[in-house]
This record gives sequence, C-alpha cells and structure tokens, in this order.
Amino acid sequence: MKQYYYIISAESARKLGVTAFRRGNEEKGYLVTSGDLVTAADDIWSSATRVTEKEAFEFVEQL
Amino acid sequence: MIKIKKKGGHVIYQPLSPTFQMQELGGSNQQKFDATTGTWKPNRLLTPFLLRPKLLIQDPEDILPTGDYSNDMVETVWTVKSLVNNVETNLVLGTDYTIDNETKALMLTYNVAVDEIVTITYKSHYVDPRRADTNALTFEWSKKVTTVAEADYKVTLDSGMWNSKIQMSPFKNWGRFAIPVQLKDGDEPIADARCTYQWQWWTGTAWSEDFSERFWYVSGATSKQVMVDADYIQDITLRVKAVAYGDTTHPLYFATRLLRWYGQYQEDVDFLTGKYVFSDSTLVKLQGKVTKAAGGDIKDPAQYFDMILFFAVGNEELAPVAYGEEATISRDDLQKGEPKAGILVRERTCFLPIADASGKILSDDTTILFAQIPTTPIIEE
Repeated sequence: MKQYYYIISAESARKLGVTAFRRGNEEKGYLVTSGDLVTAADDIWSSATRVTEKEAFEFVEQL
Repeated sequence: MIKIKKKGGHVIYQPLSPTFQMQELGGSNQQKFDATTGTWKPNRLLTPFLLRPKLLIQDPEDILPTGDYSNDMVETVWTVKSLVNNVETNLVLGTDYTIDNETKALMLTYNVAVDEIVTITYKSHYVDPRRADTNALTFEWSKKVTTVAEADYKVTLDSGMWNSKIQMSPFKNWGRFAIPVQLKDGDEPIADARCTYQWQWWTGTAWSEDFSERFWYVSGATSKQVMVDADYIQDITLRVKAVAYGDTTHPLYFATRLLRWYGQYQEDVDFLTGKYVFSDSTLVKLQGKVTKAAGGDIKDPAQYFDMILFFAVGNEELAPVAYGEEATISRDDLQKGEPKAGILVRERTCFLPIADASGKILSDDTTILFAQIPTTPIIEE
C-alpha cells in the first residue's frame, strides 16, 4: 500500500491520539501518514491536506 | 547509663502484580526503502517511531492504588546500537533519537539502512514505595529495527530469445556466442551503471563464480552478456544473478542449460560397388551415411560422428574395415558368399581436455590437449 503524508489540525490530531508521536503544534497542525488516518472519521479526512514528502519536510522545518 | 537493647521486625508485603509493556506508536520496527527514489517509508525524520514504556501495577493488599506507574520508573537506561557489516556503533541521543524525561519514552528519528540492524534495549526499575529500600522490580525489553528494500517499480530480467534449455546441434555452427540478458524497469532497460550482473555455473553441487579452467567460457562473467564457446560445451548450466538499483535483497535470476544435442537420426551403409558379386569381382566400396529423422542426409557425417564400417562375406563375422564414411575392400574371395556390410555410428563429445590418470590436464605449458570422445558405447551383438 502506498503511503502519503497529510497535515491535519491539532484538534484532529488529538481526536486521533497522535500528538504524542507526530510532529506539529497547535498553530500549524500535525503531520501524519495515511496509516494514521485509517480509523479517522470523515470530517478529519475532509479537512486533511495531502502533501508531498518535500512539502512534509518544509512543514517540519517551520515548526 | 542504662542501654536499651533493640531488635527490629519486618513488615511483609505481598508482591506487587506488575504488567509491563512497551507501546509502539507512530510506526513499527520495520521500514521500507524505495531504491528507485532513495526514500524511506515511513521517513522517521517526518514521522518518528515512539516507544513508550507502560507499567500497570496492582497491589494485592490495596496499599497502592491500582493504576499506571509508568512515570515512576527509575534508573531508565535506553541503548540504541547500529550494526553494519559487523561493526557496532551507538546512535546519537538528541540526533537519532530523543528520550522524554517524564514519560521515559524513546522517539526514534533515524532511518535504518537496508543492510543495517538497529537494536534498541530498555532497562528500568520500579521501587516498591511500601518499602522503598527493597523490592525493586526490574523490567527489560529489546527490539531490532530493520528496513526492507521495496520497489514500486516492476523490475524484470529479460533473457530475450533464450530459454531455460538450449539444445545445441553440432551440425550448426554455433562457435562462440553470447547470451545477453537485460534488467528492465517496466518496459525500459535499466542503465548498466545501476545494475550488477554476475554469471555463475553449476558444479553439480553448487553455483560457482570461478570460471578458471572453464574452457567453454570466453568473457563477460560480470556483465549482462556472457560469451561462451559451443565447441567446449557438452552439458553445462549457467545462471546470471542480476541486481537492480543496488537492491541485493531482491536479486533476479535467469538460468539456462546448454546441451550438446544430436537429435534423432538414423545411420545406414550403402554398397557403392560390390553389392552384386560377379566371377571377376574383387572390389567393394562402402559408403556410410547418417540421415536426420526429420529427413535429409547429414553432409560429411564423419565430421560429427565416429563412424566405423564393417564388412564380411558369407558366414564370416562382420569385421571393421574402415574408420570414416567410406571403405574400399579389395578381396579375391568375394565369390565365396553373400557380401554383408555394417556401420557403427557414435556421437562425439565437445572438445574435452585430456587428463592423465590423476586428473591433471595435459599440456605443454602453452597448449592444452583436447579431444572429442565417442559418447555411446559399442554394443556387441
């Protein structure tokens, strides 16, 4: 299965319980993988932004 | 002064009932490495792997409330070691991994190479607060972290016209010929610089990459095209091990058996002269021939077969009279009986080096002696 990166809001990250091990913050949200979103509800999916690996690195650098 | 002699007692507590586990969050101990793009899945620099120790304790005497005591563990020691080519090094705390002072969780932010094994070990203690000086519980845990190479591409090894068995007819001029293969990514050939090819031959018990004294070998053992010489091939099996993009965990193979093969044929002998014997006949000429099962005489059969022609008159036993395709027999007693002719045809091997009884190949230091040996035994009737 292919893996993609997504940026989700901090609220969504808390709902998913991933804040302890995913990079991010309240302001910019969190970087997660498609694997993290397997159990996500539709509202999280619909607000998630898919990013490339390059964009994911840029996101992490800006934290 | 009066001294009071004291003697202490002990409170005996029932042992605590601990449940320890290492929670693995945000990933697993195995990554995948895509050799085509040089990227890891997941990339731990982006999505780290978290190992969080969890200690649940139940006190049978209910002095301690049942619950999570993970943060009360002490003397926690994490070690993270990398092993590559039997060389062990420690990963760097703060760079390759971090440890949370409160939860004692380890966050791995290190991408493991395909040929690397990272071993993470954990040791910690929990001191029973009912008697702080004794009854420390020790918890240990260990896990290996590895990476497997993965390819989203579809790499194949194209052997073109060659298949797993090649029957080489000695009647065709094979000579020196190449067996080319090509690694492909989808339909596209992969650049040679990103591939390695290693040809091997089957010794009967194992694959060998040593081509010394393999007289059928010409060149190309480490290329995508091996060159061999059919004159020296009786029955060999070759294999190429092909690796694309340095992905040595997924080599591709193509094996082929090269066999000297005469096919189906029929031998016969004709009387050119002397089939009908007259009172003054003294000469017989015999012509041996070999005919392919599919039809057609083989030209110059003695070039490929050991041929022996036989002749006899009347009740005589057939006796060899010539080696080759033709025989001329001059006799003045042909009239004593019916003439009979016979032929024995034996296949020849490829050119084989001649060895002495000890197996040592004979040569004069510069030239090795080769011979073609008849392969089928003479059957006496």
